[in-house]
Amino acid sequence: MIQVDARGLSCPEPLLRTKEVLDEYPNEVVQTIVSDVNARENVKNLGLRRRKDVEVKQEGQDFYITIK
Amino acid sequence: MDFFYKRSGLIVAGLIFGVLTAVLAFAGNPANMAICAACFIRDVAGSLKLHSAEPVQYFRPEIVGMVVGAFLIAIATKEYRSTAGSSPMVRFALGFIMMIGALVFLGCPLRMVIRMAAGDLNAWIGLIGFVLGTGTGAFFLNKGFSLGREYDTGKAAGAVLTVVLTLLFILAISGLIAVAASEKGPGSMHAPWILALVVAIVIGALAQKTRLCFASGFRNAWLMRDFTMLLPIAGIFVIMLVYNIATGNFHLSTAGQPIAHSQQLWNILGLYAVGFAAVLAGGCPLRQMIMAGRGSSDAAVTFLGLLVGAAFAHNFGWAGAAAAAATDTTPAVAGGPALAGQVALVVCIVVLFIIAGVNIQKKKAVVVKQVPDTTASEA
Repeated sequence: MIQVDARGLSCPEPLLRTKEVLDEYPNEVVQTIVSDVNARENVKNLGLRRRKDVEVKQEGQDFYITIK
Repeated sequence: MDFFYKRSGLIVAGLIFGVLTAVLAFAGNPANMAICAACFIRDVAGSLKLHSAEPVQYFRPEIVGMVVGAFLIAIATKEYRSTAGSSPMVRFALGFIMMIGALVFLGCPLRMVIRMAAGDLNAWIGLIGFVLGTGTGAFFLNKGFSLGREYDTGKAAGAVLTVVLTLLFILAISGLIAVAASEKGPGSMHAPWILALVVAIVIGALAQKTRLCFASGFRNAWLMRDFTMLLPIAGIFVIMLVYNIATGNFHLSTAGQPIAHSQQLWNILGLYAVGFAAVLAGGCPLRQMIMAGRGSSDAAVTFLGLLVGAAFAHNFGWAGAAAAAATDTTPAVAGGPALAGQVALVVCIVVLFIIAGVNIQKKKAVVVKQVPDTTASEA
């Protein structure tokens, strides 16, 4: 699994960095960590638009979005 | 609440936002300026006497309301998070530059859309600049531009701007501080303050839930051919178009538009600067206020940049002038920025390229690593 730590990054970096990893590793599970709800929604929608399974978990104030 | 994260929710939010905008337009805000983040921050700067341009001084309740609305909904939905530390002085500069660009064009991107919906072709032409500016910002994002992370800070720190604006507003409204208030010009045109405040609080809350941002709509189109964030903008445009046609406020022209000018090169360059800076800063002026309400001290610093930029623009003659037809006693005014404003804007655009180039991260800011897949179920 490839983990993308995008906590604290400005919009749209979490989305962009996730997209880059998804493009580079199309067959890997990618997990992005973000620290605000807007980034969570942006990354989640990216996964859904690519017709992947998307799972979102909250740990503390951070969100773990796993895209399979 | 999750409804607003979906496409249908974004469209509905845009329509609601459009209706609230029309309410403020009807209730007395300046023509084709029902809400303008840049103009209204400029008016607040004037009311606090940070500048002395008499036609544009009024403590706009909309500015306080939007920040407070975002703050309240963030607290209510446990999304409030006090953060700071992502290149604050660069963000101050970006806010400053967004304001300079907006005041040359005579509007922020929201006012651009409101003017477009009134048939103001100067705004349609300015849109070219905004699209190109967001595209330039997107180019640098793809190259690895980043202002770095923001980190959690003490909980109270993220509420400072909200509290300060609220206190200042109470002092202003009660007359305990002698704020300036225009007697003529756009600063004298305003909806009743209670209505403006309440409408703006709702707008702030809605904008926080929907992540409404005029830069992101165009930026995401450049980056990923994703037009989702243009949906609420389209909703606002449609409602305002209907409102303008219904009230006889729709006039398709470049000449004769209220609080506008037809110096098209400067309309384009002004919004180019706004679009470019907004993408680098992670949001348009309205979005910065919303993020500040949510608890970001970096966005609050960007807001201060906008405020100080407005003061500089009017103190040193950098703001564009509105075009005006000739009267019996005065000649026609072409409007637009004077030479000082033109030079200031060009310098600002150069500075944007420097900021963009200097902050390209050779090693991408995000940490990417292989970890064991703990989400895989056992065979």
